[in-house]
Amino acid sequence: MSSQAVRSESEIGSVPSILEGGRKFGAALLALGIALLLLAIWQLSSQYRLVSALILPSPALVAGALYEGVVGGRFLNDILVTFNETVLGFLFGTVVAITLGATFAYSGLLRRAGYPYVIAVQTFPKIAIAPLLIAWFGYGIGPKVIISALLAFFPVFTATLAGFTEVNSDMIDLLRSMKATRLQELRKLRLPFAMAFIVPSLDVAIVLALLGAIAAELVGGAAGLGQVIQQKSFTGDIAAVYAVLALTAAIGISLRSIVRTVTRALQSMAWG
Amino acid sequence: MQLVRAAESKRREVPTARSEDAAPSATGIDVRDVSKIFALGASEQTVALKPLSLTIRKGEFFSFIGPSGCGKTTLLRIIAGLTTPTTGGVFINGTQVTGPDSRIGMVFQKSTLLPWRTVLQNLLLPVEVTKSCSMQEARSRADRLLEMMGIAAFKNRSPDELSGGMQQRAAIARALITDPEILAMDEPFSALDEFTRERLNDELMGLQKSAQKTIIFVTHNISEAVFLSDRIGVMAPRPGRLDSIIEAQGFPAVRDASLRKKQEFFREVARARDAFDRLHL
Ligand SMILES: Nc1ncnc2c1ncn2[C@@H]1O[C@H](COP(=O)(O)OP(=O)(O)OP(=O)(O)O)[C@@H](O)[C@H]1O
Ligand SMILES: [Mg+2]
Repeated sequence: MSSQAVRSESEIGSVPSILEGGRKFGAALLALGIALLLLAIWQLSSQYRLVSALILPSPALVAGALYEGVVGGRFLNDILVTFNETVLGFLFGTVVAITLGATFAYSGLLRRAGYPYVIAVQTFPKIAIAPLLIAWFGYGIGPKVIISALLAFFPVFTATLAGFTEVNSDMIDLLRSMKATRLQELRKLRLPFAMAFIVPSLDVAIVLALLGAIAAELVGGAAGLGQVIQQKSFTGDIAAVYAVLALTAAIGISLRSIVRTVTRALQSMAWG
Repeated sequence: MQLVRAAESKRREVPTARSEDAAPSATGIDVRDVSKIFALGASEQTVALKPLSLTIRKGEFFSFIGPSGCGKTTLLRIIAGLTTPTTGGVFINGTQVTGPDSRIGMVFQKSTLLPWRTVLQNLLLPVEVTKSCSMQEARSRADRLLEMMGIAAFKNRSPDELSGGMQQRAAIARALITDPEILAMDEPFSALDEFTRERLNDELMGLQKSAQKTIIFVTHNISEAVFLSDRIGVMAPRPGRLDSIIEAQGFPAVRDASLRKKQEFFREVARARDAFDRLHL
């Protein structure tokens, strides 16, 4: 009786894989087209001086500044500093977030007592405390890591809390009905369920960690891409500012894809 | 004649009258003076279930039917050992249920397949947890069950790629993997459309006859209950209680889809409706 339905559904399942490949290729082509179009508009508008070079330097100037900064090595130290701050901030922020989130999930008392503070910190504009942190800890990477960690903390904290508390109660009954031990319940249900919430939040956290690091550098620091932006715009080297902005975008995209790849791999390794 | 039977079974099996000292029956499920009161606060409480006693025979298909809030789920959970009754106890083959019981497989309204596992991995979960047999044996059992439920083609798919009906088939297969004696099903088909529901009813009927399972089935749907059940427990709300038990009359030994068009079927559905009319809901 059901063979008919089974056949037709599996056929539907197999067709899109070909279509999807084609569609992906088309989308990539379109994205490239958009980039080229924007570049052309940019080039033309600076060539015909539609926009002042002080606002928008030509693509060639920006490319030159980027080349000089990266291949010439002038930005390398700053890239490394920002990268370190971001990664450290991300790690601290997420480790504390997952620990605190899981603890809050398991203790209703702690959750009720601690939640007002968490909300207070969450709604507070954290970048505003950067000058204070710099006054306390100096121009090193410490304050930047703290701001970065604070920004990375919240999406992961709320995801962890939700992941551990919103577990489907029928699924728990199911495990109980199999006489699962507490450890089995954790391993087979609660952890993977929470992971499904936490893993996507890490993508958001790494981008926020970068934002935190750069924002704190803008406030004051000895090195870092935020500091370069600050200096170059002060001296009117707008091409270099654009070059650094392009660099931060590239760092953000690569860090995010690294986090995605690593966490998805870990997830599929651990839970099949 | 039918009414007399109904009254007989009512007298025989419905509330409290039975004495504590009679030995629980050696086979089947003995529900004895089971009641459940939920405390809502310091003074408030809900009587989810007034004391009730009944015996479900081994191999029987027994349905509980009644409007929302009459304690069907509560009773099913008590039988499955997921909830402790306020009074009384449940005995399976003469031994008391004190906690979750490996002799019972559960099927819920939502399929509760774990979305991060494939269909096959979901089927294997109970064996991973209970270690009731070797993984190799479990795999061959799983293959047979997937075949039987008509979802073999989906074994390596993720559950969200399956339709609601297919998901419920997988959930039933999962409940059967450890070969439990009893299946406890809480509104397993209520989220499905009429056609899928009837088809799964037909299959469940066949499965119960071939695998000799005792099935406890909760539903809101009168014709579904009549089609499937040897007996139907009619439940009433506020407070939740078992009102009466209806026994199937004059059905053929083998029930198949054609039964739904027969006179006997309509008559039994009407009789079940009468039971609800008497409740003045
Ligand atoms: N954990 C609980 N705590 C407090 N009250 C509960 C709890 N579980 C059930 N109840 C109450 O017990 C009564 C019976 O609930 P139950 O879920 O058994 O009804 P049901 O017949 O399964 O209803 P439905 O058809 O809607 O599933 C209801 O009034 C419900 O509110
Ligand atoms: Mg219910």
